[in-house]
Amino acid sequence: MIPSLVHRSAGPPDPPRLRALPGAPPTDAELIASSVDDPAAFAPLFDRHAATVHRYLGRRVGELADDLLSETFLVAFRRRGAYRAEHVEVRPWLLGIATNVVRGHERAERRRYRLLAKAAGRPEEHGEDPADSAARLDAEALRGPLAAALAGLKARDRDALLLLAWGDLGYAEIAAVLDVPVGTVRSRLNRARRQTRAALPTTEEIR
Amino acid sequence: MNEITLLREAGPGAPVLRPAARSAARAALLAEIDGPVRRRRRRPGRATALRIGAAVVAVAAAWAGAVALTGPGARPSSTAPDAMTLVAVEEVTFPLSLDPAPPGMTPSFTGAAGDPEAVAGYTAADGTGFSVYLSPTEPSWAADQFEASDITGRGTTAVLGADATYVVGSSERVCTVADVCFEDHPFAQLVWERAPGQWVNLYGDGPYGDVAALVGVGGALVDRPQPVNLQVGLAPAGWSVVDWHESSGVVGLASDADPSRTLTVQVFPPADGTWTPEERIASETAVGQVADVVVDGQAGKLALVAQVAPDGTEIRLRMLAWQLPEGSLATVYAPEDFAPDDVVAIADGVTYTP
Repeated sequence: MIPSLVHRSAGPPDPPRLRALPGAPPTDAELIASSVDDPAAFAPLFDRHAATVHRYLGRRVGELADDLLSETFLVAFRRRGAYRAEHVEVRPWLLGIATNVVRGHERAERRRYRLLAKAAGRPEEHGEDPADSAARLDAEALRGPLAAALAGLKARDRDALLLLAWGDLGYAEIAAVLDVPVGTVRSRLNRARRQTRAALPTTEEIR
Repeated sequence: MNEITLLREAGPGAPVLRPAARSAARAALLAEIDGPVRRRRRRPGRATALRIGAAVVAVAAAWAGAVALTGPGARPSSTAPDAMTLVAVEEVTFPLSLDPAPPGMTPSFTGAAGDPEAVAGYTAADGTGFSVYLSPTEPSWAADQFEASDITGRGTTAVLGADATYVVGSSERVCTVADVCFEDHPFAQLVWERAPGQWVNLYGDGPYGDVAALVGVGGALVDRPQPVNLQVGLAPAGWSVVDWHESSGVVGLASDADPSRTLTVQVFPPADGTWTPEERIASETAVGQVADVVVDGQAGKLALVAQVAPDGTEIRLRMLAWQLPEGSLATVYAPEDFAPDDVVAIADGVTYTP
């Protein structure tokens, strides 16, 4: 039999530093702590976070995310003994592991961005729709340059930028999961944002 | 709009987490969590072996209600006194079929012995399609798999009179496994209890990203097992099939006594790139001579190869690569202590129906 999986409805995760109310499902941090002695307690974390981790991976590596999702949770399970709730919450911790897993596939990630940049450069296949808003046309025009900009970033700068943009992590969380000082995160983000901005066309160029 | 907002709104999108991929990742995690304990549970039931009157390698899938026996039956693989006995393997099946079968769509199946969950993915040439995900309990996680901003509707409907819940939506940009990209790509999900203890989660995209289309698929499901396309006809006595992933063309077996001893059979269709047995062997680190062998009348190569285990230690495996008649390349990886003749005999029993 497979261990029964606890599912929680969508919503903000419980703060791990607070004790769960009596009868409430265990928090993420409590599950990890329990799983050190009872490995099956780790399983519900997959149900809680698989979609989030896959979405983050998918934006970075496309369909390869299916494989890397599995790898991320296997690594997380093996490292659960080293997790410290006072250091970082579970969702950022998992995204940090996912980021390290993506590192092993950096070439695939860059290739994806280049392909997306190239594809975005082609004429649109759908007909011109007068209902398209200006904002949408702007976004369409930026899709290719954005992908190209991501392909051109240094891996560690891109990691910081995408943990912020797609992982919704704060500076301190990024620092924790990448194991670097917050100041280093700031400098990496500054550089990544500057380079990304420089690669984008101006509004005039778009129109 | 700053760069961060732009990346969120106009940056590359993510493919949807399909039930098959989710199930495979979850199964891998559960296997890791349960380790040897879980595998011990996969041992074939004694009653099954007695009922059929012959030793068989059983596929102990809880959801596979009907299995058929194939293969030539038990036979000693060698005249050596300590030779292993190779026995027939039960055919691996997915319990449901579609009647009528959707035209132009290729199914692929994923499952694990002892795991009550299973997935059948039906894919069209452009990579769109639908997945049939079976589980004994309600997949309450299913409706939360989508980005809230992508969802355009939720509700209830009926599939052959059974209440079903649905989610519909649209992904801004999706690139399928066939490397075809779509903008504003519709998806839909339908969940209902088809029979007591049999929950179905249908996920579809493109032409199947529509509730009516999925209700049609649901109504066409019938209780008729479908064999997976890669079958391992012979395996050592005391070993069990533990998992199969058709999308990656793999069937895995493990020793009941020591689940860390595994046997893996994999097929690489020509679409994945043309490999010759020599090239496949050359992609590994061969230790010693590479032998020429014949598998089911086809030329193959057999070698002892060295791999690095996750803990950094070196492990050695027997690797056999051969060409299947229809052009695919097949490989078998077996423990080092398997006799070369046994590895060839196992390969002889492999069948693949693309």
